[in-house]
Amino acid sequence: MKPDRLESFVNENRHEFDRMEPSDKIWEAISNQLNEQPKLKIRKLNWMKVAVVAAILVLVPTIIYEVKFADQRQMGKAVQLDPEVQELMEAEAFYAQEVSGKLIEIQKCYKIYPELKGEIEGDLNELETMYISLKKDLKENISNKEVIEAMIDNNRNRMKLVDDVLEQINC
Amino acid sequence: MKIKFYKTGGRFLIIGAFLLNCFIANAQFTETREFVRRFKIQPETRIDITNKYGRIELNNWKKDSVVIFFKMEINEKKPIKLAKTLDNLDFDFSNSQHYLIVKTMVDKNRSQIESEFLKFKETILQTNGSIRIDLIVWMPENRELRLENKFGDIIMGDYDGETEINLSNGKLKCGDLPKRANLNLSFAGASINNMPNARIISNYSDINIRNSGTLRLETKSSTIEILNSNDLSIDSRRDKYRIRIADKLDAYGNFSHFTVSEFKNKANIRLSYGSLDMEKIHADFNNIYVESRSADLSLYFNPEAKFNFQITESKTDLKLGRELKVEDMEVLDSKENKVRHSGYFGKKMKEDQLIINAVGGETNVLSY
Repeated sequence: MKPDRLESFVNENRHEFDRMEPSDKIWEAISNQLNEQPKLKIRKLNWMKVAVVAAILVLVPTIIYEVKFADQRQMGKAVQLDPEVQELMEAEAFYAQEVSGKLIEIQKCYKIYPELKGEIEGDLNELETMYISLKKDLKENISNKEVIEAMIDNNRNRMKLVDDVLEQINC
Repeated sequence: MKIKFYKTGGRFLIIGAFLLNCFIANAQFTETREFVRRFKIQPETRIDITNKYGRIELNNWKKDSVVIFFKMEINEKKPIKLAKTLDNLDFDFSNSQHYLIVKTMVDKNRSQIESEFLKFKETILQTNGSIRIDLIVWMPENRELRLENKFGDIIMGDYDGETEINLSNGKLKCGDLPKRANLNLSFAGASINNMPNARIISNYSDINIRNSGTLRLETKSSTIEILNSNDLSIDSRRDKYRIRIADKLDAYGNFSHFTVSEFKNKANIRLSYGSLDMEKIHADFNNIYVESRSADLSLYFNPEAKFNFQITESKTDLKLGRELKVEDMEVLDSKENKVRHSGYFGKKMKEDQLIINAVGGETNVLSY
């Protein structure tokens, strides 16, 4: 493709074209514009939008907190209110720890007496099922004192179960 | 003077408000309700009563109808809660030719969503409220009967019809149950006078029976005392059995302890851990077969008894009384120390009446 003749001519004689200077008036006008303060755009506040955003900001964390921590908060509140619930929770924690510790001891005998596994863990699961049923009764929230006593009794029997077995086996 | 009066008045006002606050905080609101329902029933009608949080008391009469007296007492700290509990409480009645069904419902109006929501409400897990629903029943004594109760007792006298009782977290007190009876007890207590034909499933319960005929027991972690038993069949785990007089005994025990004060006739016992004590075995007993593993056996025979025995033991601490004459001792497995001891007690007879197969544990065969 042949180079354009006009383009070649302009390129070769660029310095010849660059001889005109802008007038003082133009420079003055530019200088005036530089000193001018930019005009502030005043937007009208939309209170409805603000309210919606504020509501979202408040509600979303509240809902998340409520869903995530309600059970714990509820327990904490109940414990604060009711010493019997506190006793139940303490009993539950104590027995769970004790039973699991003793179960580890029993598990050492599974190699020698493999049938122990099914029997003991089966019975512990059965007790857990009964415990879940008691929790449902507790949700009825009607006569909780009796239900709590039954729940503690259930825990006590788990402990007795592992104690009775541990007392007799020797691995 | 006026200022002083205001100051004193103010103090009284504060103290009064404080006391009122304390009173309101500790106030208990109680509501009691009673009503009676009457049902006409047919000779073939089966009666089915389910209750919760209260007692079922059963009385018999000669009429062909059932009358139930309901008594409820609800205690709550807040009147709103009291009203709500009352609102959720209802009784379901269903009466047909074949069935009369009465059921206590404590969460009638509570939807699933509400039940779930209760988890989050502050009212849950407060023990200051209580409810008691007592049922006093008058009914004919020979209808098929099914009773279910949770967190409450069942009180009944003699009942002449077939009976099924499901009880948890309560006590059962009953007289004679001459017809077939099925009992399912969980964390319960039971005291029964006479049950000639019964089956009992017992978990974590205490049972006391005066007289039993053919009785099948499936028990776990329970304490059972029977004064007189005829034919006992037991499947037991971690129980404590005390039987005063036993005629026939068929038992499987796992970590269970059996004590029989007086044994008369036949026994077939398999034990894994636990123990068996037969304190007085009659001279004319028929036969005893015991298979044990890591269990302790103590059998005490009448000094006038006459029988042959065969005891096979391995790693067992065996102790035989001087009345037992060992005629033969055969090593069956030297590696396992398995030895068979054969002989007789009192006088040599034709058949072996005492057979014991023991592995581990302790075996004592003595006279009393």
